[in-house]
Amino acid sequence: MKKNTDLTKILNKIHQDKWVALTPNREKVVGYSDSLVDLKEKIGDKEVTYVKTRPSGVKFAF
Amino acid sequence: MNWKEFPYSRSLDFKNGGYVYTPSLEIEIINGSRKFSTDAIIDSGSDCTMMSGEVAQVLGIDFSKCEKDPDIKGILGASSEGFIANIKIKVEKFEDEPLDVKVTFIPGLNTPVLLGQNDFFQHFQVLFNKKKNIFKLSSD
Repeated sequence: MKKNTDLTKILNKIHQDKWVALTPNREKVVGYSDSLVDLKEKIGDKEVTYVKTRPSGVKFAF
Repeated sequence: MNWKEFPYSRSLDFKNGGYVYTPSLEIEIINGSRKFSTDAIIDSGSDCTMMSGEVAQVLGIDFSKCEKDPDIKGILGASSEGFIANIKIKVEKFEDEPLDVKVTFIPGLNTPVLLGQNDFFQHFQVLFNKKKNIFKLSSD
């Protein structure tokens, strides 16, 4: 399956610093939440990929 | 050597404008019958593989049954407590090579997964090419 590798096409300001559930091909947002547990409960067993979006203007050093 | 290529993932910086590029890829995390797919950052500076406490919750990992790692430090010196568990991961494009990983789960970690020296870099050779915003992995 070909996956969308550029999430800037589908994510916008409302998704920043949130957990976002994407379709397996990463072309569409299925849902989003501040809490992964809440989002997982909402999505159930649907096949999705969960990503955590970055907050804006923050530099990370791990 | 058989290299597989990945683009850096691109996100928008709404505050400052422009893009932020991160060397990350998709992994499937497996704990018994529970599975969870998410993006993981390849972090050569991490001693071990780390995951957020929220990921542990959805995987059904009970911290009271985990070995504790009492002193996880970030670059600014702040110390956190971690909880160690053994799980399996499948890395995108290497799905036929599931990897047993000793993970330190850290409550409050603000990114889902950091793939560190143990056990990710022990299994994969990694080539970063920031100029082209790509990286390559090989398990040869």
